[in-house]
Amino acid sequence: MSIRTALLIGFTVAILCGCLRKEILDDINIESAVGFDEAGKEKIRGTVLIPVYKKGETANKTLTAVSPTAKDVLEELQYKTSEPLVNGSIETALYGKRLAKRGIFPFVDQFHRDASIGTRLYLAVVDGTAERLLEGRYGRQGSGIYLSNLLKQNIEQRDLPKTNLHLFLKTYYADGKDPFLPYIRRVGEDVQVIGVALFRNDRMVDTIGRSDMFYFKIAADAYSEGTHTIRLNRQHYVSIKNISTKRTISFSGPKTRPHIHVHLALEGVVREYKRGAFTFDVRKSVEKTFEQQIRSKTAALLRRFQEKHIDPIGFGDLAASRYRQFRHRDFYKNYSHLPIRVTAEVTIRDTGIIE
Amino acid sequence: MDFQTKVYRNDTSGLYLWVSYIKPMVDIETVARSIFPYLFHRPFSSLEDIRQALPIDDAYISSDPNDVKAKLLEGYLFVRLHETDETGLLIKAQKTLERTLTIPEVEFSVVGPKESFIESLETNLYLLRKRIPIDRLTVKMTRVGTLSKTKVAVVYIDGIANPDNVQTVLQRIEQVEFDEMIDSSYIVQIISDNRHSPFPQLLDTERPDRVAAVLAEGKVAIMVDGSPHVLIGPTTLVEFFSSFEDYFLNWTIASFFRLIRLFSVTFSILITPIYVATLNYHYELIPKDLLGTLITSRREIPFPPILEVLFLELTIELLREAGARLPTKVGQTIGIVGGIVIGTASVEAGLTSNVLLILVALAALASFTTPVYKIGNTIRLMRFPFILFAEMWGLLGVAFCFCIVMTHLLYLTSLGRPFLAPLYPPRWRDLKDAFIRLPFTSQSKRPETLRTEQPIRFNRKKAKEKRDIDE
Amino acid sequence: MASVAERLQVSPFMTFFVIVSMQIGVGVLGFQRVIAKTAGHDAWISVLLAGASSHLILIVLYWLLQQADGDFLLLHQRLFGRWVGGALSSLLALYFAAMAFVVLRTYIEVIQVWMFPDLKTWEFSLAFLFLCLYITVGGFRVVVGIYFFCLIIPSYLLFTFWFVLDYTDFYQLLPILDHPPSTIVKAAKQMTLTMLGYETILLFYPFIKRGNQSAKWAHAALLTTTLFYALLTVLTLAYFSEKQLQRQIWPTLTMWKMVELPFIERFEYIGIANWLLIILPNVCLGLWCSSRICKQLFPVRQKTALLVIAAICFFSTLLIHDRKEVDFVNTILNRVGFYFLYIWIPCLAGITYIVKKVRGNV
Repeated sequence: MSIRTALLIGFTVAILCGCLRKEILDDINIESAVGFDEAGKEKIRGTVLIPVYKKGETANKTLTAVSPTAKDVLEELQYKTSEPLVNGSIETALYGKRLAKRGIFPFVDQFHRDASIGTRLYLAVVDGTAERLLEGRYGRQGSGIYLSNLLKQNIEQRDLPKTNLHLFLKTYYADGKDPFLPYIRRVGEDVQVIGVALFRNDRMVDTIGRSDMFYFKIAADAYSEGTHTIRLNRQHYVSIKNISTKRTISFSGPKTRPHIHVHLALEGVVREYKRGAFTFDVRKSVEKTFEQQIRSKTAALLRRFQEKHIDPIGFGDLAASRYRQFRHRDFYKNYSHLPIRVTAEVTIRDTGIIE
Repeated sequence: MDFQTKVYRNDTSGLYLWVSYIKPMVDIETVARSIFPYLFHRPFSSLEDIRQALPIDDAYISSDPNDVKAKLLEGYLFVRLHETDETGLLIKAQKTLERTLTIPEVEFSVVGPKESFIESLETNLYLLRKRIPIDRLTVKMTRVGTLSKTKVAVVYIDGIANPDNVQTVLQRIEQVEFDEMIDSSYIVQIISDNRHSPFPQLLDTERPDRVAAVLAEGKVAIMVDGSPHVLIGPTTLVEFFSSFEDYFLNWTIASFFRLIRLFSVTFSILITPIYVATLNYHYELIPKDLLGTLITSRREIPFPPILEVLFLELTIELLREAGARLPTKVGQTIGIVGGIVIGTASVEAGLTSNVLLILVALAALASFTTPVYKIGNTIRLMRFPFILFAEMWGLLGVAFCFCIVMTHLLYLTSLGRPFLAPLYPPRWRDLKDAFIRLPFTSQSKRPETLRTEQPIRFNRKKAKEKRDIDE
Repeated sequence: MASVAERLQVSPFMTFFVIVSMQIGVGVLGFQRVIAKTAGHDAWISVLLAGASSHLILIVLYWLLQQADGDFLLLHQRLFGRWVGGALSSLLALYFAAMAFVVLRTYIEVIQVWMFPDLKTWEFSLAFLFLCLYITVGGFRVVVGIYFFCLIIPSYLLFTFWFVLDYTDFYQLLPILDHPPSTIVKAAKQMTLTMLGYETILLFYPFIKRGNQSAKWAHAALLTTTLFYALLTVLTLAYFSEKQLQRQIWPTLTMWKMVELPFIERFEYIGIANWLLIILPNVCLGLWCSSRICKQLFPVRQKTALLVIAAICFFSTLLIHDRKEVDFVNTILNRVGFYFLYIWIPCLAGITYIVKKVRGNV
């Protein structure tokens, strides 16, 4: 028994000596979003968004600082607050357009290195400056939540392909794929998703507009919910919902110059059709039109990628999984001339409760 | 002086009798009605005649002064033929005043019998024997306590209970060295395997039906005269969370309630430490929607979370203690008023946050779900080391404290049997009555932990009859 | 010395828990990086190979134990005489003690990087070792009890990997066997280091009831660990791209960052806290084995040896300061373990076999 009492005493001594730095919940400033912009030649302007919780609506506060490197910027900001800034809860990180064109890797890497930041962080490029966007007042629960919900909702139910910090880094480091990020803009008191920003390595080189986002998502990701409206002819539109897609990419031919076949299968349900009964013939024609649209638009997108030498769909990686001893270098040497064929198959299931 | 000696004269034979007794212990009415007529009006010539004539069975002749002393103190009459005689007749004339049988207060159940043990050992044995009317129900009597000379009965079913268990119990009781043995809980504390542990190692109950059920399983019961609580051993941790009412309900319902109980106990112990840990160190764990609520609730509070928590916990303990000491009517009012008023007032005053108030209240409520009173106290106590560790090392501290508690439980034994069975060492078959309760037809074997001599309870095949469709 | 009182023994089923728990230690958090560097997306094959080899070694271990009647140290003594045999056994004691302190120090490092950067090493080390002493003083039965719970309770962590599936691309594993076999074998060798732990059976075999029946549980344990590691490797390879994986020091922890439960946002903190339960038995058994060897070799009580070894471990944890040093000791320990299991044990078996043929018995 004496050894146990000795242990007990030893325990108590060991425990009581311990004291760790606390980050008590209401004594800290919890950042919910950050933004980076260019500020002159070698400097970066960093903005952090801090929610100010009050009973009822949550207010926002932003702080900015200018510094040569990203890490410094966030450190600089500590000088401006009475309560320490902590970044464990950051949900969105925004990059100004000009900075994105210069290259955002250092600013993404620092998140990667920081153990307290989660990999579900959303990244986005701002058409304009991140600072201005973050200064706006959106939503009732604070701008931070507004932004992350905006992106989340668009990814899950609309035309944004899946993306977050983890996926960005995954595609950045992958040899056969190039990253992309949502492209957003502040419009008055709202923020809108206006497209997808395409990157070569870590520099933004192109954007996809809203009209093409749907086709990009089908090719790059899979759809499981969401609505799309297609134009039949002149004034007539048909709205399809509950869309689920599947893409199949196959390669044939030599591994340095393969023929790529992209097949997109889409299933949906008619939501709105103004022109009377949705008969079998009408359905067939809608399907055909849709197929044709998918074919042409997607092919146009892919051609654009080839011309710009970017590969956001990830053909390189997919090819690497089909061929043995695949070399990405050889593949990309011929990338712009590779024949890519797009086919589509649309099935419209039923027509809702009325015909 | 309440020890009296009176001289009486027998009418018929003319002999004088010296009758000695201790007045408070003797039932004067019984004596006057049943004994004195025989003593004074019947013819006899020796003590032996009187003994045979008396209708009282517990009467014998003794000349051992210690025995006489002991019996006088118990309420026996000592009848001698001459004043200076050493030998005399001891006649039992004990006063028996006791409580009437009432409903169990601590282990109340909505369904099922509502008889409860009382202080008298004889009555308790009666309650037990009528439920197990077989001859193999063995009762071994001893006396414990140099001053109190309390009667202690060790009860078990011969042929089912493991003789080792019985032997352990008997031996330990034999070795008890104490002066005034008031209650069975004194015995528990002295004969427990691990005296320094806050966890009780012998189950105590005031229900005769429960004792009867566990004796049938193969356990050993210890009854103490003067105590309405009967001890049962060997026991395991899981039994402290099973209420006897579980056996009166349908097994699915009973299993569900048991699981709820276990969950609520875990919740009760862990929720406040997790609150402390999360608010101190791990703000990232809190979902964003909750973050706003928590921060606004803590805004005005000047204390760090640990002080908040300790303040509320101690308030609840105070309320509980105060409520326990006051007479019933006042106690109830204090409980309710105190709870509501103090709680609301402290939130208004900005001393605690309303979120924490709810958590602490729920935790306190959850800790009341334990059917056995003793383990409820242990759970109350358990919370504090966890809170301390959470304050030091956050979630890591909680995990650390958990390991310490687990190790402690691994060390515990109950009458030599591992306390954590059927979890460890894993006894798969015993799990049928641990976290869930399988129907009676599946419980044809006695618990393995007890290592009973006769493991089969009833014929399983006969219990489960199978019929084909439309047969 | 090989027979142990029955009341101190545990059922052979417990062998399963001890071995699985011993093999799953700190290594799980970061092993994928090393093997992926060598064998790329075929690393999971290396895992399976390493697992297969461990079964073979286990068969040899059991054979040796049968020859030595359950007492492994006796074997050293019989074959090499008292002094050399004793020296060899002392090396084994050193190895186990080193295992204990390396596991502890690595875990402390993980905490310092991920959770509490200002946690002082000596603080946690002291408290943890006290806890281990509390456990080991109770004897092998209590240690096995800890093993049992520390495997069952954290097992729910397996389900957390479900959340990661959304972000996996299993096509990254194709084409299979795209790497030259030599690299796959080399990665298998690296993998064996992570799967070490079952050599402790040499020490606790006498504590198992009906020891010869425990072989099937031990093999089941190895199979389970192999499958577990293989599945985890597959998941990791699909979750990260190759170069991304190379930059992660603790891929498993990074994967946990993606888990999001309704009430809990950042799961990796809970994972790290639970990891305490997983490494606790590893450290305890290291201390126990080490002190047991000391007790059998030198005239000391096991309790005294335990205290001394724990003190040595404590001071050793203080000597290691940063990641480089942690990596370094890990590498050394793993190398020693590898040579012991894969080179020394087969040699020993060979020698025993020859001696048996010559002498008749050992």
